[in-house]
Amino acid sequence: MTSETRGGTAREHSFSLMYNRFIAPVRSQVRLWVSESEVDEIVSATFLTAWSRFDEIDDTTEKAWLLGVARNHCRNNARSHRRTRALVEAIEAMRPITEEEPFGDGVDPSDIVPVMTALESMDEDLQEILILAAWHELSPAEIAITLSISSNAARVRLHRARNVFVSKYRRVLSREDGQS
Amino acid sequence: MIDRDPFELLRRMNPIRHARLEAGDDALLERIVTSAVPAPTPIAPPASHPSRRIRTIVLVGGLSAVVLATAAFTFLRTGNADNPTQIDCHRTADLQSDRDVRPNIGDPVAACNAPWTNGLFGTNGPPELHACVGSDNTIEVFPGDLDVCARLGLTRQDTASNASAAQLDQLSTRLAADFRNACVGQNDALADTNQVISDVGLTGWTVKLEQPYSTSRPCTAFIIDPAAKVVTIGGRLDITS
Repeated sequence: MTSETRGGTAREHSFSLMYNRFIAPVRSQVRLWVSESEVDEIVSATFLTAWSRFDEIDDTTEKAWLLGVARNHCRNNARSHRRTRALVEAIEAMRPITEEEPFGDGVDPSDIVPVMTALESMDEDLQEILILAAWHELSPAEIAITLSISSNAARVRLHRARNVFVSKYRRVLSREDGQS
Repeated sequence: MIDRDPFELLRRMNPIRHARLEAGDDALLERIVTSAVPAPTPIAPPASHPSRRIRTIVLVGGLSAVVLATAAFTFLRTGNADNPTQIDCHRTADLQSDRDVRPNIGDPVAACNAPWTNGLFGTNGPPELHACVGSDNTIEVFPGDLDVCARLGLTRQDTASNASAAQLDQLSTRLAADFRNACVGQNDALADTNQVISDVGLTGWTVKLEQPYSTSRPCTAFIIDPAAKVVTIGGRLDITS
């Protein structure tokens, strides 16, 4: 970013703060929705939309709004070729350049396979809502904004997603126990 | 292991919190805020204010009852989705039928010709199609006669007021040619934009001046918003030299 941009209008300044705060999580989520070759295009389109509608964005729900715009761009631009890679592979692509543990701190490596297997075996719409809640830490009201559904529908769908996830996780564990 | 909350385990495996800015992110920001980039395909922005969404739901609920009671009147009504950013092209005249979601970049009926020729719904070309205003700020296009919207409890979309994809394409191409590679000042840009809008045959469009021009921002950037029928122009850095 040039000094001229930093010294630009108040609108540019506010936008650049939002951009710098959310571009990385937005890109990470887009990687879960589309193939790698489409990520840059979707991210660029998302923030162009945000720039053109910046005055409409409620600053308490910016992230949810941006994810909703990104999701709509994914639906419109890439709906015919949904994510082609496995979820875990997509998550691997988020690995930061630094050699940090990609799955967070304090995670027992033996937990990773059953959790990710359970997640990957879920229907995409339930998987999506679970990720928005667990990884983006969105509330049901924010998920409602991202998915363009009512808060109540988001609450019900999240509840269902959690139940399905727990059930699948337990099934994976019992299969593992049976094999050992 | 079963005693642990799997959702909590999932939460702790969050890879997104480690996401970092990447090479090129600064350049993208610079491009967005300074250069003449036409707005991308219009996209439904999620509602920012829950209270507004509640009002909409109440209105639609009430409207459905009225529509059922006054179908004859509804048949004559046309309207515009207030946020027509995507088009749902239906295979049959049924709200639950298979659909092909397409970006709204002009005439919805024209946009929905595609699935009838590309093999998704067929290859023999489209049947008679009509655009209706959906209950979720979308445009729904169904095969059927002129009454199809009313039969489904919807109002017809007033397609006459929409710009065609070809017109939007011409608008974008001409403004980009005028403003992207040359430094055009405010007065010339206003006149030129109005002229281009007229030349491509768009009606009801306005030009909005958003970002003031200055000595450090003497050139013109523009954004096209087909949903609002607005071309916004503003000052940008001189990057042509």
